[in-house]
Amino acid sequence: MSDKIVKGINITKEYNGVAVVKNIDFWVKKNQFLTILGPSGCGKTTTLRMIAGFERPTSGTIYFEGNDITDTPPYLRQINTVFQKYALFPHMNIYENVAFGLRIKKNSEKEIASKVSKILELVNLSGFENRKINSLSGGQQQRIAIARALVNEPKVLLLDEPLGALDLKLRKEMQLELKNMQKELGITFVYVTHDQEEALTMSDKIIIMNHGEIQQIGSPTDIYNEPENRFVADFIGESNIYDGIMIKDFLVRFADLDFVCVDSGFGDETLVDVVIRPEDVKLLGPGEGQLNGIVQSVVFKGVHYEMMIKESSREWMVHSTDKVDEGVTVGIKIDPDDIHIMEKEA
Amino acid sequence: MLKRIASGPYLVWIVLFILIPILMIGFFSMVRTDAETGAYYLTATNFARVFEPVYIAVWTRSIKIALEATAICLLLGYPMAMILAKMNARYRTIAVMLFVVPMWMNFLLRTYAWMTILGKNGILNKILMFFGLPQMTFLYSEGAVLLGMVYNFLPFMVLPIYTVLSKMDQSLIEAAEDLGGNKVNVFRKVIFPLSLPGVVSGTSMVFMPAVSTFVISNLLYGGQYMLIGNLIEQQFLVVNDWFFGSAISIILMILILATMAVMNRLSGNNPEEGGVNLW
Repeated sequence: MSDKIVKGINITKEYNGVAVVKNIDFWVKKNQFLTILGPSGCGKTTTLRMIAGFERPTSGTIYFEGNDITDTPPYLRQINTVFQKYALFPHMNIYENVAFGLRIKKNSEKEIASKVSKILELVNLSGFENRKINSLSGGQQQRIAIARALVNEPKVLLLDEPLGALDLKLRKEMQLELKNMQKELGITFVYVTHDQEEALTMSDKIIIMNHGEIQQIGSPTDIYNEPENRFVADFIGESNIYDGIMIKDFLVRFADLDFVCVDSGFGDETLVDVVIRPEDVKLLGPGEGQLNGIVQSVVFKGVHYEMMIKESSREWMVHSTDKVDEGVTVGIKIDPDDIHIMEKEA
Repeated sequence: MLKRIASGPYLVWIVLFILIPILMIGFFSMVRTDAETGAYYLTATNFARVFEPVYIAVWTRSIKIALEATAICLLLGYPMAMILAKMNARYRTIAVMLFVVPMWMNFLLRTYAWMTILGKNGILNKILMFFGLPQMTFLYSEGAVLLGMVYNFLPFMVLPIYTVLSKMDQSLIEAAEDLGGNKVNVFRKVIFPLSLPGVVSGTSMVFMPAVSTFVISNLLYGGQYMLIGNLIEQQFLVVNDWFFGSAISIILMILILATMAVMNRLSGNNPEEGGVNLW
């Protein structure tokens, strides 16, 4: 048997004739933390809902451990979901919320009690059993939602932007906690978010979607360092993207200059997109780099300064811990392995 | 300040048409006039009479038929509300309108219409005769009164339940399915408990008019059938005993208030969860 626990083949979903997910293929390996990342309306939540069983694909097949589950209702799937707005039952206390799935599966009261208390301990909310839902903070409600899903020992846990409503600090904490839980419990996580930083922090593998299509599948490092197209480069982190021409292998022309690069195989004289990350641009004294520009603006971002530099008709975004004042002329230097070449989209 | 001025007419209205009449009824219920002098004197006989066996029978009958009407409305109304709430938005507006439109017609007229349907030479009997079946008595029966109540008060049950159901957070239902609940489980453990505020509103809004009506019983049963409403009407308009009539009214009011209190307690009323709070 393959280690692909969930697999989707040729999945398309249409609403009233409009396709929101267009013929995508994906798979999740056992114990993997997979993130589906994309801007709102890209089809990522719809994809998750099809895995959960709330939506039926218009065409295509979803497999779970090798079995076709396309028409299996959600309650028969060994998959649980953490909902975006938690969806805790307001008429039940914490204990009853967490015990909901166990009661339906007719566990004994003793078993339920021990499982609930164990899972509440895991999410650091022991002693909250008799509290009402609306007496909890957003972060606590989030933990209960996770506990309510995990207590059923699902093989796959789906999370639909679960941290979206939390403040930044809490979100960072929860990201780490979720990642730890996933490692400890050995459960496969499928996580949906529009927050690229969140995706890079937590995932083993990322699927980037846009307009219902998969743009790139890869590890966080692959996706950050080797974006496959302009959309991915733009969406993941900040990027300077310029039109360029691949003169031949290992030589690209952009910004009116020829640069040595590490990419090959695009074909000679091919139009390409050139991506340079802001932190890869080195600023030197005037004339010391390949290009010269004037600093237009400087913004302090906490760890680094973000500077916009005007060079000819182009703008360069540069991240650096060294501040250069506005109006100063600087040299711009780019190393060959910091130049990322992408095929131009048709 | 502006708020105070704006609420002025409403205050006058409350005092003139609600507070004063209630106080008057309260006063009448506790007094009688001396046969010779015509002077009022304080007495408990009005209230004592309310609990005489002959009137207790009327109370029992009224409460029983009102409870029956409420139960039927709930059994019919809940599924209807569910169907409405699940409808495609486009048809839903029309379907809700269909429930509301009959209420624009005069209440008496609607009840009279049933007389022409159920009567001895009414539409129903004509249909029976057409098929060569013997004529039946539909009108002037307890069943006819029950039918009249259900027909007239059903929208009051459907609408509050429909409101709660259509506002219900769909993700709660999905969460219940996700946690392994089949349709029956989801309804029993999530949908129904969360719709209780609507059920309580609907139940109160049907039970109250049903227990105090006199028009429906008058028209669909005739004079000899006595519900509390008829009894009150009779005391004021026929027997001219305003004192006894007032005492019955006061007891009826207490009964309704008590019912509402119990219903609210039962549902663990929480106004945040939607539904109409009657207090």
